[in-house]
Amino acid sequence: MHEYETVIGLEVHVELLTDTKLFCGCSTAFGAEPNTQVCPICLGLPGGTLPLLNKKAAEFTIKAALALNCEIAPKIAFDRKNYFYADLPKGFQISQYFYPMGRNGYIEFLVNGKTKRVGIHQLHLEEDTGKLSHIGDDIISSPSSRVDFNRAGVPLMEIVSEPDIRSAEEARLFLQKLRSIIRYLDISDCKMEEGSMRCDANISIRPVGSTEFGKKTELKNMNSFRSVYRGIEYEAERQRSVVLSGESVIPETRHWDEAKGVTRAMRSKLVSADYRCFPDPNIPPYPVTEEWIQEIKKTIPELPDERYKRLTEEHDLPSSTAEVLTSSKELADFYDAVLSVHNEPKTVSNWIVSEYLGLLNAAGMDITESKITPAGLGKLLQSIAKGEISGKIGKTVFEEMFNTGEDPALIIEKKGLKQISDTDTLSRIISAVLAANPQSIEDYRKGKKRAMGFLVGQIMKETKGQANPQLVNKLLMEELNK
Amino acid sequence: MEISREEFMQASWDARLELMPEELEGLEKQTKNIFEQATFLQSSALDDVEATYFPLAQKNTVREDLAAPSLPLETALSNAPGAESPYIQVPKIVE
Amino acid sequence: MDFYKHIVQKLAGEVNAKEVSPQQIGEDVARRCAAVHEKCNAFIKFDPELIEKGIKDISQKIAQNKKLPLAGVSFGLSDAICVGGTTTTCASRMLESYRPPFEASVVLKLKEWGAFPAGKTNMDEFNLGATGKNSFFGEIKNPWDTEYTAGSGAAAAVSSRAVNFALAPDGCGELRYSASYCGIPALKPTYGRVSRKGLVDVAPSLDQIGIMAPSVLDLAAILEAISGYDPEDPTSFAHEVPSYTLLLQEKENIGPFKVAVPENWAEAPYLEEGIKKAFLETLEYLKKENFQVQMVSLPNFSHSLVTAAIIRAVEAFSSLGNYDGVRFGLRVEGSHLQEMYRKSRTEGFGSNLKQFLTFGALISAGNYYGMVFQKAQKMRTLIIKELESCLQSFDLLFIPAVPFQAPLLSSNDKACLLPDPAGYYTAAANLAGLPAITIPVPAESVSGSAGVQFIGKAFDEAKLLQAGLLLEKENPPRFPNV
Ligand SMILES: [Zn+2]
Repeated sequence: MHEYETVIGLEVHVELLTDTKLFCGCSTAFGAEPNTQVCPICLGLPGGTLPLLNKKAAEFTIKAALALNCEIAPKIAFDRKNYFYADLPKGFQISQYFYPMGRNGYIEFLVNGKTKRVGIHQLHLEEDTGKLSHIGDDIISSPSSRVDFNRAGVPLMEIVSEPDIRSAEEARLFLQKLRSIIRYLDISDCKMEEGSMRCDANISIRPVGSTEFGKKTELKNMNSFRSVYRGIEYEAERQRSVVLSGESVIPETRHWDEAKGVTRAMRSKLVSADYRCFPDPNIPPYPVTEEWIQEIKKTIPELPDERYKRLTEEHDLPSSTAEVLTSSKELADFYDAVLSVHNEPKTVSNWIVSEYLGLLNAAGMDITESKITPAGLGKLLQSIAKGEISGKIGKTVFEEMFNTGEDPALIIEKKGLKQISDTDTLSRIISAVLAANPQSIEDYRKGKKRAMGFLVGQIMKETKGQANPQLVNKLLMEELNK
Repeated sequence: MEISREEFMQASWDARLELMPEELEGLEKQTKNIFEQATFLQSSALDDVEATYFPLAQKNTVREDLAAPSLPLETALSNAPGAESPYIQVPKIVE
Repeated sequence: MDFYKHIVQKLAGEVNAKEVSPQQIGEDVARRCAAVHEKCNAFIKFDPELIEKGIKDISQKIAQNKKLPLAGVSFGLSDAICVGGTTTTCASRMLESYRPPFEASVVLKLKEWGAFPAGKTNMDEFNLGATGKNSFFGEIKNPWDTEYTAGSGAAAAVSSRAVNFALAPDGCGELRYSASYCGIPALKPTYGRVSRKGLVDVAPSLDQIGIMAPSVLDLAAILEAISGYDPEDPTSFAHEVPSYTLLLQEKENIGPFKVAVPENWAEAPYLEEGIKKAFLETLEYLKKENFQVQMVSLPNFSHSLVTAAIIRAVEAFSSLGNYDGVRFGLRVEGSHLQEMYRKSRTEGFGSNLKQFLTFGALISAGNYYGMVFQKAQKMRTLIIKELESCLQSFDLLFIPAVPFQAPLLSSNDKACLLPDPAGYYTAAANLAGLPAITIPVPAESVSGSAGVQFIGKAFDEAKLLQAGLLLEKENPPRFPNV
């Protein structure tokens, strides 16, 4: 019997973060009342449809194409993709069929410690469609649907990978890396749950060693990273059992049903076979000059791969830490900003990865929603380094900062958390503790070193944890060894 | 160029149109007529010629990403036969 | 009245000087429009309110002592061009109740200059042909003899002098040959010279808004008003707009020109003897006026009609994809979405249009895309090159406007769209985006004239007007009595 491998190609759509739509001045803001961000152009009203290209959308797309190592098309040209559907106002979608903005690029990411490269077949710019909502449970049982055209015409970038992906896990890693790069470029917020990032997968299986492709299915309706993983996993397994039972895979579009955890075939009639793509006669080409490309290049920030290299090589961070920090631009920027206050890469990265991310995860929050500022954490770490507070107290202060957004110095002051480093005060407390625990002194002198720990604990209890631990140790030793 | 009845039927479906039998016949006749006149379609002399999609050397212009007012909701829906403010209603999607 | 003097400028002068009141003009125009509508069915519907509204606007401005270059000038507006306050139907049942929430750029300009729209003129549905028989709103009769077609309501209204001029689209020559059917001059400007914003799309790479007027000087005055770059039309050009009226007054600028005539000009199907004779006589006249006339070989010119029909059908199939009964237009309910589309379009569109759109769908599908549609676009390249190289050695190309006089409304001989034989001489200028003017010269025909045509270099409308004026002086225009 053959071993089978899964072959996956992804088609990823991301909505670009422009203020206005691709071909008109309507706002792209999310969450407005239905059909209030529409005009004759994006509604496709007769006589009012001449499309006016948004320069920023073009620049964002070129920026992404450069960041994904693509060849850039010599002109911005658009084509019409003709089909009839309720969320499509003009009877055609304006897209880039003949001259995609970028071609032949790639993305690299780590799989089990090894670098994997996945080709980018093409990257292009197109219009988003309107939004359908169905009366009743779902599209199939719904007696009628309602359309909101606010989203129609929002710039959408489609990234088509080569079929280089071999597992659901690789697909997830690819998507994560892609999202991270796009967020670094600050051209989309890539929120799968809100639909600003969408992913379809072309999936087939073939005997290991074979170079031909098997019959593929196109999997749609995966609305989170988790469902991409689960959907692909399920579909690949389904295809295996189809093939193993001696049948062959039917090339078709399938829907991922998140609730039931299965994929289902969609009626093929919904999908038009022939889009008759041809150059849109209302949109003459716009030249892409070398100067323009260079200008756009200058606006590309340090990308995750370069940053990872800097963190591991220059800051000497372990690769796992560097990977976590660079996975999101916000996190990596936060790290760099803390360093500018407190230049201790190891300490700073540990605090971010274990303390900060821990708190964020527990609260189910994103770093952009947090009250912690890089300066705040920097100051806190300075206080610890200077011995003003202990590391342990530091964690308490940090939690307080996380909850209230207050300055660490203020919290330390208000709660009286400042470390006691005054020898006289500590000596007085030590004497009192020793006087109350003669047995422990006895034990210690008999060689039971554990008694020392007990005594330190008592002293910390008396000082509510604020005693300088090094100083307590030193003074206590002196006292016991008298 | 011989075109079958099925191809005409498919094309009319693709254009979401229903042709009466006499309209279909009329179209078949006209198609035959135009293809007879379009002698250049058989010519291989055109193979290496580049196609022209814009009549003159048109160059697009670009627009800054600045918001312009949208239509008020009532105006946006004023021409819509299926308006159910603030939506537009359409019949069930799946047959 | 001396018609080859400047009517519109004279009229505007009188209105600005308050010698004629706008109210008086309004009543006069309303009366004449009602008469020509009754006789010829020149308008979609005769609506005196549109006139009243226009007059009110002008009266206010005149009362404020504003000097308007086209004060009190009335125009007919083809019903494919959007204006506020009334419907834009394209003579189709589909758009019977469509009221665009915007106005065409040309209309805005004309209103600003003091002109007012007197009515939406009738036409063949979506301007596909000018048989005068394919309007949902009834046949369009020729004011010279109502047994014959006027081609378009615009031509009927202008030749009857119900309005001072009219604007109408020209996709394969409809503007020019319907003007010739009625014995008036017409001008199709260079592609991109006049904004298409507000013109309902049919075949965007061929369509241009053109002018019909009683005299060449009027054509010049209106061209001056409506030409120029429009940021809302991405295909419009920023070329400077000369003062066409001034250029016509400077006598020494006029001719003699070098004129090319295609040697096989007489091979047009249905070419009538009367037309042939009028053309040859005009040719002799041009020679007499010291024009250098030369026969040239333009082997691909005869393919222009078929080439344009193919391109137009595909572009129209796509451009009319927005007529789906959702956001505007006729809706005929169906049990599901795609059925609703089909029923709405089937009942909303007329028979000829449906056949034309189906043809467009056919020749852009599958292999036909390359075999037919793309082949036609390649032929377009050859036709453009041929015309360009001819116009490098010559100032103008001279040909008839249309092979035959206005057809009888009762005859179906020439009422074909695939291809439309009336466009034999006109389609080439649309394919190449070149400007063209048609001028009536005496002939034995229903209008007593036949149209002859000059085609010029891109943006060289001035020369067309100058040559046109020369012919007009020899052949003063005549108008039917209504
Ligand atoms: Zn819009």
